[in-house]
Amino acid sequence: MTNLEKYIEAFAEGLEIDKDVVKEGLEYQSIPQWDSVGHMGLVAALEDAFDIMMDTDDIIDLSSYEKGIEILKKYEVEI
Amino acid sequence: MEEILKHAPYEDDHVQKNKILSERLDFLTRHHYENCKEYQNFIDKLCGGLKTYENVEDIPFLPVGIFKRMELKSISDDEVFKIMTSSGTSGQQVSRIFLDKETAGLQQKVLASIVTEYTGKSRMPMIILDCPSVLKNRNMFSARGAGILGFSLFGTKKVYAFNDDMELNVAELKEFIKQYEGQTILLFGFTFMIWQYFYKKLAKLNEYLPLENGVLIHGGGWKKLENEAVSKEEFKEGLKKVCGITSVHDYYGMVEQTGCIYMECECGHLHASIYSDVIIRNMEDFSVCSYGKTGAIQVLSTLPYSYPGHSILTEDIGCVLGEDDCPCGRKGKYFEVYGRMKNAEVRGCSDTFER
Amino acid sequence: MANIVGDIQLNMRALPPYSDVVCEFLDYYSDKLRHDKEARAFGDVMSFAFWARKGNITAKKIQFDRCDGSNRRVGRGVVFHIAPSNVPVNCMFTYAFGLLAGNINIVKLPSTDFASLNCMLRVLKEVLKEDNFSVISKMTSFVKYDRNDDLMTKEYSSQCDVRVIWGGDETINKIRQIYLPPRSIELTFADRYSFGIVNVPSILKMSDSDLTSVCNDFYNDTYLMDQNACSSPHLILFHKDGCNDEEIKTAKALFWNKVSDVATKYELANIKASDKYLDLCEAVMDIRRGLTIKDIKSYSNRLYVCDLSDVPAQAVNNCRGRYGMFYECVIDSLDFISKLDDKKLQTCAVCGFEEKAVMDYIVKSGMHGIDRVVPFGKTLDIDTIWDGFDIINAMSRIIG
Repeated sequence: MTNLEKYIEAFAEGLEIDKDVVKEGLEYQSIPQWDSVGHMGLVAALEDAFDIMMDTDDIIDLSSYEKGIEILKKYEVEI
Repeated sequence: MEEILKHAPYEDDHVQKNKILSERLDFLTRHHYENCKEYQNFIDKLCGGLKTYENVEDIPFLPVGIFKRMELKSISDDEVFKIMTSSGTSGQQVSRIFLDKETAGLQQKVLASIVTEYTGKSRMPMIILDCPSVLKNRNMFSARGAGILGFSLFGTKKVYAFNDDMELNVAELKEFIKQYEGQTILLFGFTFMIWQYFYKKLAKLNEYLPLENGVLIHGGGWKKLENEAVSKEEFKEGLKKVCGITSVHDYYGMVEQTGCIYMECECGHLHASIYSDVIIRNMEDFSVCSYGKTGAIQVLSTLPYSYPGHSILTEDIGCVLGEDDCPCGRKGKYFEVYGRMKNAEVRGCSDTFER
Repeated sequence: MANIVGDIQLNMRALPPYSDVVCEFLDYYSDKLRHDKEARAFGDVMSFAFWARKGNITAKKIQFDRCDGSNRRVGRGVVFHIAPSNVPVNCMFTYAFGLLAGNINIVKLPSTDFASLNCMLRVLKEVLKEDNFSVISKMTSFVKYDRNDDLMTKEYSSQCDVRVIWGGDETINKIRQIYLPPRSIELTFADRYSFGIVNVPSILKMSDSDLTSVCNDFYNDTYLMDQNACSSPHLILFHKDGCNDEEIKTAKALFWNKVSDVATKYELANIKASDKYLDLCEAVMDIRRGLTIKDIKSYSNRLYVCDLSDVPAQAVNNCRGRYGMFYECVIDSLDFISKLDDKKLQTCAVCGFEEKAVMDYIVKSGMHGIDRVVPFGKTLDIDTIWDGFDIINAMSRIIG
């Protein structure tokens, strides 16, 4: 699996949504599943997928699909 | 107030009533504002200062629980004639209501005026469906005691239905009924106790008391009976079976507004008299609910002079069904009470380990 | 009495803190919760699952390992937890703390049933069935018995090395009467009082979406728990920080209007609205409290705000609200917080301040209270540092 596939998989699993929905433009609060509770699932899924530990600031900053890619760079994950 | 007492309880329509009531309630608000420091704070801080109130709906209201938390009075200590308390189970806080002679007197007068609308003017033999010990402490009347004492006024000869262990005196009652055969007998008691100790006992003993001519007035609420799933209809049916009584009237009232009771008419509706009123409020923003809408019951009474209890928001839920047009012919609002607000699950950690 | 979950063996050996099996167990349990359809519906369950996830626990372990003497610590033995009766998720947190410290755990569940707690217990039961975690199962017992059953409490107290009580003052006093062995220790998490500080210029500078987010955080700190959690603020101090009266007024209006908007999602049961109005009336009417209330604003019955002209003495007792009733007051320096000082002060929630500024002030002034300084939105985040205790250290012993 490529990192992009893993990334999309983590979104789908963490937010319990269809993979088709996971694409550029997806933002926090833009769909009902990505609320504050869903956000926690997403963070945990991303951490599991890439075996990383995210800083609190990054957890808060993770506000969109694109932003997530940018944040993961800090953890040496290139998507 | 003298003027209001000249009115019969159910003759004025809403236009006249609003005028009469708002004038008196405006006066009471002013009186409590000037004589009760706590009430003054309430008006100044919460209600935007004292105003002239032209509508009954505009009169500010205190939550009924405030009488449990604070001692409120608008008279000097030496004018206190008696203190009434709500009946709470031990450990619970109870309401303390301070009465002066005038207020206590008005309560009796108004109660009489309302009740005689249903029983007729002449006094009659009376069966008190309670035990004698309930009136023991004469200085600290409980709601139960106050109710019995208030209604005793309408009785000539009186008999208690239970002994102090709440055992029904069947033989004594039979004797009493026989003695006054052919006359109307007044029965008074609390809804739950009537069901528990009168109806159930008679049903169990398979006894019948000939009370076809009786008038039963009962109050105190249905909360305890709800646990036993006894409906109003079953209550009436049951009593008819054990003693043939058909004139059964529930009433709604509270110790915080003694005297101004709301009696159930022949159509099963509770009625507000000229001396008092009910308003249903939406708990979201305290706006007034239209007829037919359910909400919290606010009660207004023209009587409370010695304590600021003329306008109270209760913790009961109910619904005004209409005004001036009950098929029974009585004017004023008629309504239903659905019981206490439901307890909600409260989150949080203060005071845990479930008391 | 009933043992709900676990297969406890009291003679089990304790483990060192953050042992691998415990960390793996928490991660696995967290994962199961996050993938459980029912559990996902409970915000509090998800917040526990989020906390127990691998990323967080590993980070905590790394931090712990950096501490002096971490390799010389071992669990104290048996921990008897008396869980709070109305914060269901804390049953799980206190249990997890006990495990992380390396202990065998008996958790007394609240006697009221909570859907979220039942759900967590159901998943836990499944997880403990796994062979990998049989050791955890032997370190676990969730029990339920009548609150008046002192005999059970006596029994467990006599067997434990640490007794943990989450509860009101009355509960703690009652349980403290019950014998505890000489070498055993007790941790009490009593009733506390919390407040917030808001920086006026920060509010004025905020974009609408930032303000919404702050007010959402504030909602989660308060309404979410009926403003009844120990760490939910009752009093908000507006630090003027050079602003004039007009600006302060604007900031307050901005803040409260937004809170009231956010609070439209709060489920205001009739009885709660009624109790809240009663609290408000009492606050206004009770002369003995000596509150200098200037003004009261109500935003429908969802939000009541009592504006005080002075920082109140005895705020801990006199300025309490429930279900969305707050006191507010304007201050010009942090010195005013010492006026609130009381051992009951727990959390100071801050908005527009560095936490450190307040922490420094507490240490410097030697206050008796305030155990936590956190930004808005974080007041309910329970962790191993709580109420002034480092719980993992307290529940383990150090070999010197």
